[in-house]
Amino acid sequence: MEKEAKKLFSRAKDSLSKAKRTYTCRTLKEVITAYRACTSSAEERALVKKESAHIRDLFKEGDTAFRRRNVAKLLFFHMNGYPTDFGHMECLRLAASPKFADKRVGVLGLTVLVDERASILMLMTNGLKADLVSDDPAVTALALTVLGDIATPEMLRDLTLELVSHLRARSPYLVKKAALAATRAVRKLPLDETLDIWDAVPDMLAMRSDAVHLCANTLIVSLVEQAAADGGRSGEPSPLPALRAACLPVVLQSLRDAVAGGKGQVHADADGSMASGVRNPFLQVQALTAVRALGTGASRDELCTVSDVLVAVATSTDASKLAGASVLYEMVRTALALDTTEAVQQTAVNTLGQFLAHKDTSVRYVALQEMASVVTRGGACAASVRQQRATILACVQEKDPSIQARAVALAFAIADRSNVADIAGQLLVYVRWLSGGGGSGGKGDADVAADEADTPTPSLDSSADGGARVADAATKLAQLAVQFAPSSEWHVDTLTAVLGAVDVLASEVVVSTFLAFLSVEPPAVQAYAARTLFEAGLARYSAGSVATPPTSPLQRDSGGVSRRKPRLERVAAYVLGEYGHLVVSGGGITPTAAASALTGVIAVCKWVTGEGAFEGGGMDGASGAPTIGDEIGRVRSHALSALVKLSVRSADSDLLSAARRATAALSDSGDVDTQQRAVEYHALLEGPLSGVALAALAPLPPMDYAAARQRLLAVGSRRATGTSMVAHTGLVSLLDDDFMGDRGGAPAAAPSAFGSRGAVDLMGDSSATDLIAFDGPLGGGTAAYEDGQPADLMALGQSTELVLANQPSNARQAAGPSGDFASSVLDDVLGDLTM
Amino acid sequence: MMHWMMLISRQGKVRLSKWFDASTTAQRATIMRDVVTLVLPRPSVMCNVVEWTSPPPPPSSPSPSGAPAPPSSASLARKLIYRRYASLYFVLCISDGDNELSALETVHLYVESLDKYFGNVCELDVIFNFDRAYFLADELFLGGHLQETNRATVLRNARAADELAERVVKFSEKDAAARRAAGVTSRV
Repeated sequence: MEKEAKKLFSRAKDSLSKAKRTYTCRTLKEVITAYRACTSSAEERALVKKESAHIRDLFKEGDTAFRRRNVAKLLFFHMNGYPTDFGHMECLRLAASPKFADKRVGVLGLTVLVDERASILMLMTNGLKADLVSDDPAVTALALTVLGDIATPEMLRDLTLELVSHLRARSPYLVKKAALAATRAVRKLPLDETLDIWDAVPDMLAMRSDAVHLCANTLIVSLVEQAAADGGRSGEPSPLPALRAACLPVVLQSLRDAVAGGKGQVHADADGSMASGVRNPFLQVQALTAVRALGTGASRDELCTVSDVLVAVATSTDASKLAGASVLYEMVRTALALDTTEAVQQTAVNTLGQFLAHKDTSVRYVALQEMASVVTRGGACAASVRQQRATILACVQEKDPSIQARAVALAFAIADRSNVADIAGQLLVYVRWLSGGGGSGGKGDADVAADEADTPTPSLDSSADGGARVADAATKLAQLAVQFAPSSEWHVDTLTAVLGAVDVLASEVVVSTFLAFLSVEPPAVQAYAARTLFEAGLARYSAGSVATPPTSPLQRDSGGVSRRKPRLERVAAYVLGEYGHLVVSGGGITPTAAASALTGVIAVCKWVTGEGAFEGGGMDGASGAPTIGDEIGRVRSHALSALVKLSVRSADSDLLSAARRATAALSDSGDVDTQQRAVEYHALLEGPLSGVALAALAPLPPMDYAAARQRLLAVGSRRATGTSMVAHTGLVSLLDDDFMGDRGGAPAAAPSAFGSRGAVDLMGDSSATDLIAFDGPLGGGTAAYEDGQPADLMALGQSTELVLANQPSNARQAAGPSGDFASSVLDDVLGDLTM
Repeated sequence: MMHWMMLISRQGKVRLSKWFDASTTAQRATIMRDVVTLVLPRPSVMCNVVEWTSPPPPPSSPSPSGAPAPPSSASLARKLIYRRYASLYFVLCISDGDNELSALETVHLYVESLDKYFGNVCELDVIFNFDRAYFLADELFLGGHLQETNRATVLRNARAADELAERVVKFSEKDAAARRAAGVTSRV
């Protein structure tokens, strides 16, 4: 008795707790409300954990009353990123339930929670088979949804028979779903297992239903893809020609009908299929895609018919609305992809031109994208794209960076000799805008200092991405100049403008090619370049705007770097040194102006180098990239060299005395390299000009422009290189490269033929040495000097004898094998000097 | 084809996501984060297309038949097509060669259908009735393709299925209640 009572009690307790749990099962709405009321993610997690545990218990008990609700809750948790694996089995059970409501939720759960890799899907193959032959179209529709969304290849293979039977069903509702499920089967199965589907397509197209036509077109596209992927491997004769013969005319007819306004089509309500005045744009787009797929490899006659229909589409579709534009866009792609008549292709390109002026940004975007691919393909269409130049260039002003980038790429692509001036002009505007308002070259340092506090550094401040884009655009502009420049002067102007706009972001190859280009040009162009670059980069230092060198560190910070253009100044200094004597003697630049500008540059640079003032500032990014301080230091070196070269070659007394003053002043510079350089120059300039000085500072031999040009043009093909910000080596190492090719120090090694020739020249005729060549080895030896005796070096400045005694050994010690070469040259030079 | 569809709130919460490609949960989470950072900050002057590279699909289960590899594994260049409606972003991911403009229209078609179905739809409708939003999407898309372009037909089909489910639910509730009552009495 007691035993029985106990049993009864425990049973009652059990069922009570069960009932409690069951009846307290929260609804989906309650759970969502509670979830939304959570204030922290910890709370959310706790809620989901508790609710999940509850759901799991109910699943374990085999509860059926709340299964649906609980699976829906799981979907909600899944959407918010919580694990729901334990619910997969329950979805499967729901999907197998005879009740439609259960089945619906179960199928939804499967399509959302499970994908084709889950092995449990195989368990439902038989259930699906039963559903596919069900009398209830709603149940069959669910089964087709499973097949189309998540079925594995095995399931698709097992159920192909049932699937194909629905392709020929009477109700459009099932046919369209079956067609898309068949699309999945075609993508997942090999050709020989889907031949039944191929056969069923013409029957589908015989149905008078837009939706069925839409899905049949989708199926056709995937069938053609399948045939192409198969390529006769399965051993079956390709069913493609038969499909084309049966379907292409029907698809074209449906397009014609759609264009003509829906005659001959039966509709439940015509209103629903109209969008913005275009009759069923989705169907038209899909039909055009199918025509494109079927038309590849079609006969001449068939293509003529296609062309006619495309023209009909083009002429009767209004592009002002997005729906119409989508149809026209597909028309354009089909026209250009197939071998259609020239008139159609012309129409297509013109349509793209209209798109460029469309008010919707997305339409402009696709137009530019399509035009770029047309240009890449070349041919007659590319020429007609060129005629749209004005519209394309207008898009360079877009606010949307992705459109802008595309417009720029396209503008570069369509450039040729006839339109380069126009295009490069627009692109320069773009580059200036991109690098944040460069091109204000005329601004003096004085007023720059004033507004410096709130204006960030123009080019250096841009993000890495922006920097890459600037560098890329600069490289492309240089490529345009190299390929299509109408005149050498134009080339010089463009490169000056590019350097002015992007400065340190210009890649090394751009600068080196420009210098190589100048070296092979006639003196008139060289003089022009010297003048132009002087005005762009150096003239502002001559007027006395920097007469007073900045004193406080703060002032130096602002006045010195931010608006400086170190690379432009360096190039200008180099060019002025190399070709300046052509201008200084003949007019253009007065010797005084040149002297004061170069002295000005040196003065402004003076406080920067050797003090580590700008270490780590400015150029972030890859290690080994030079700091702003390095850049400025190189400017000073080049300005000094330029001053010395210019004074020696022009033999102008003003310049000579300025050069002597500068070298003397820098002989006690805190920076080792500069001091070294200054001491050497000072020795050369001591007393009356000797033959050695003239010979040592003689013009450089022309460089190998053709090779440099090749290198520059190759940048576009390996995209990434053009975007490297400032490469490890600047102009100086580039010169080293060209004149001491056997050092092999720089990554972009000069063509060996030229490099060795330069070296031979140097060896054979030591007098043709440019002192810039010493920069490399000496620079490399800085460390040695630093732990050597800086005091000695200070002393070196005092007398030539000391230079003679110490310099060669220092250089040798510093630079190892490459130093031998340099020091041997130095020996020669200095040896001559004392004799 | 469409690879997935997502509804995201302006705060970056996913309100609905429909996947037509196989992918792991971790990948889906990565993609959602990607989308939130790529799409939400774009100002309205920008175009509605974003180029995007999908993470590689998970290795599909080895198929004994040697079926051809799914073409999606070859090319992962994708485009995100998005449109903003009030506080909700609708984002579609399509293959590189698909018609972007048509995809934009597809988004609009879905939104219009939702609007008609719920009657002036708002974000809360989608939050609390996301299952219905899924059912509606299933009437509109299948396997990543559009299956019906006629809004009225979509609505008719969705409502018919709803009715069918409702009817059976009522019956089954009665049935369940009866069974439960029977169970309880038998135990006592």
